[in-house]
Amino acid sequence: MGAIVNFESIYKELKESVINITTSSYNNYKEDIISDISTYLEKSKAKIEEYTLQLSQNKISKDEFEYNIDALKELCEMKALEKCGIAQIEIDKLKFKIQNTIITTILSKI
Amino acid sequence: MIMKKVLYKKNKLLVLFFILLLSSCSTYISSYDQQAYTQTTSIKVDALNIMDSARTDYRFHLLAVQNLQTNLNKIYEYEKNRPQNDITIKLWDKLLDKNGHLLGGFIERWKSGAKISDVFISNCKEQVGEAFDIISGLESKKIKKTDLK
Repeated sequence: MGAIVNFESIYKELKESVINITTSSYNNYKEDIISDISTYLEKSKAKIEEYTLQLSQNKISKDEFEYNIDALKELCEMKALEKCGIAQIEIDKLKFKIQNTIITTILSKI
Repeated sequence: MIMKKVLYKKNKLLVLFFILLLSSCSTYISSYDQQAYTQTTSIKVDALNIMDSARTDYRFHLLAVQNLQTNLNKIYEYEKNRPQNDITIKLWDKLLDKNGHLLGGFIERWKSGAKISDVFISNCKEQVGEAFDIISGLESKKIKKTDLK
């Protein structure tokens, strides 16, 4: 407790820790988004094919077909909103990690 | 020696200030809420059950639909009053929009007396179920208090 806090050395340590956390967090997030979006679009494509078949077999009316297609569009919008939310959660998690790193680093130096 | 002590005290205050500043940083999105999650997954079951009734006239199910709508309004109000909850509110808006094509739109269509086929009900149920899953899925991914320890 007697030593004066060396901000230069703490800053250096912080910088390295933050760079490490940011790199790992954003790389993971990027891969997840690409994979999720691709999977979801493939699923929607299959649904459109299914509804088209139902229409051709008169299982649903033209009006019902259009309704289901519109609903698919709304689900895509919801999925996009969900992705934004997940991005915000990831940023918040990163913020907490950075906060904890800063606090731990500072406290270990005093 | 006195100078060294003053500097030390100054640094300690700076450290304290930084810690306080960091602790007060706000988040972009609300944290996980068990009640919101439970309410969403629970009303999903009710909504999908009621959608099955659309095979018969809306008037026979008026009370059940009104009950569902009251519960949906309660959840919406609860979500609206949570801080930093804009995205979840937008998701609920999409699901409940009377002019849309998910739950709100389905109920309106049923009310209007339009003929509703079994296959169509099944398609709509799947879509509405997915919409509920998106809402509860986002909630479940939010930061939990235990994540911060």
